[in-house]
Amino acid sequence: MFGPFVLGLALCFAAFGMWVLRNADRERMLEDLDRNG
Amino acid sequence: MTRLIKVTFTATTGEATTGFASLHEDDTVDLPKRMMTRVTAAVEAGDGYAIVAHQGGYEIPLIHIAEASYKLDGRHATSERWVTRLADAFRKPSKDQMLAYGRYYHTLSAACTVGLVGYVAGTPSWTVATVINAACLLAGAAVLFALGAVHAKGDK
Repeated sequence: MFGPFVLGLALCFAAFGMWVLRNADRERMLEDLDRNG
Repeated sequence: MTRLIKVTFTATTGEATTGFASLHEDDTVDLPKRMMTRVTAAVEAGDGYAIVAHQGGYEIPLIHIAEASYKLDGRHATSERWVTRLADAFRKPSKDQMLAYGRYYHTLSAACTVGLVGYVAGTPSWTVATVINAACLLAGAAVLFALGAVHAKGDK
C-alpha cells in the first residue's frame, strides 16, 4: 500500500510549508513594525 | 541616473531601521530624512551606530561625507555565507520565494492527481487496498493544493 506513504509525505511537506508560512508572516510583521518606527 | 538602494541603520542600543536611499552614479548615497533623524539622535546620545547598504547579496558599509551624503565602501563589503542564505530561504523567505514554494506545492498536487487518475484507470479490480491508496492520493493532492494556494497569495 503506497497510498498512506504518499499521504504521510504530503502531510510532512504541509507541516514544513506551514512552518515557512509562519516564519514569513512573522518577518513581515516585524518589517511593518520597523517601518512604522 | 539615480537608483534606490536598501540601507540598514543599526545602533548599539539595539535599534535597527531599514529603508531605501538614493544611490547616485558616483557611488554616493543620500540617506532619507527619517534615517538621518536616527543618526543625529544616536550621535547626540553618544551611541555607536553603523549604516550598511545591501546590494547583490553584499553588505556594503557607508562612509560619511557630508550631512546626509555617504559613500559606498566597496572594499569592505561582506556577503552572507551560502548556508545562511539557505537557512534564510526558509526562516525569512521573500515574497518571490513564497510564490516559488506555492508553485512547487501545486506541482506536487498535480503529480498526485495524475497519479490518482492513472492508478484508478489501471486498476484491474477494486479492493480495500485500492480504495485506500486512491483516497490517500486524493487527500494528498487536496492538502498540497491548499498549501500551494496559501503560499501563492502574494500581494492583495
